[in-house]
Amino acid sequence: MLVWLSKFGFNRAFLVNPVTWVATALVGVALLAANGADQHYDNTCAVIAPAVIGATADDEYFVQKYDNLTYQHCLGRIPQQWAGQWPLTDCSPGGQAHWSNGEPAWLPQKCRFNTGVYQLF
Amino acid sequence: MVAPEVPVQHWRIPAVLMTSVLVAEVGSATLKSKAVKRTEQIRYLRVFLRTPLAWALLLLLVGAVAAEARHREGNRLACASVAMLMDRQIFREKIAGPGRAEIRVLRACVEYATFTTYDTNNIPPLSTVRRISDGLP
Repeated sequence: MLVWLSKFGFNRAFLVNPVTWVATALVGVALLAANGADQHYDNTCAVIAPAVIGATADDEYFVQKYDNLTYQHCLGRIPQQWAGQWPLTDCSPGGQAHWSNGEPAWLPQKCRFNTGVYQLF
Repeated sequence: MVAPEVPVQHWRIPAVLMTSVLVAEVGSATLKSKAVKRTEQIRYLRVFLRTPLAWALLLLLVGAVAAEARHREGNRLACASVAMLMDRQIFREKIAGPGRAEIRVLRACVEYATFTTYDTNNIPPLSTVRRISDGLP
């Protein structure tokens, strides 16, 4: 292994070089930051899922494109217990709201925002 | 016949000149040591960049930075879309007391997206953010 590494420049001169130390420190910090950002992203999606899915119990809940967008941005990070219960729209002609496990959802869809709440934005 | 003795001129170097010579020598030495240091630094950098492992390290650094940027951007987009989702759902009035689930989302999304639906005045750490509309304390 060491012989193999030495072919790529792993030797004493490389190890005692201050530039190597600085570069290694920077790599360490960057890896820690990336890991922290990854965990934060996981955590965000883990708390978003119950908030969105819990809101569907409201009688006035309607499915909109932002349900799909949030689902897409959190895909692969949604906890297993919520993974199949996400409300989604199908805004194609004749499309119907459904859950992320494919079952139809009897929720109203709002595919256009030129009416209703649009004026707020 | 004895030649007349020429009086030896004893030049006294003025103190100011001595000092300036000294300063010049010290300055020159400092410049030299700076130049030597700079040359050493460049040499270290050259030696580092010549090794393939160094490029692997730099590649790892770029990859880690890119991964962090990708995660942060994904997080921001998730927060922004859920904020829009909630804000569109509850559009009639500002909700004074968001539920526990919403508070957790709000806290996770601090610095990523801002909900307008919920009154966050009494939710630490969100309450630390004062809006202009709140007026002066």
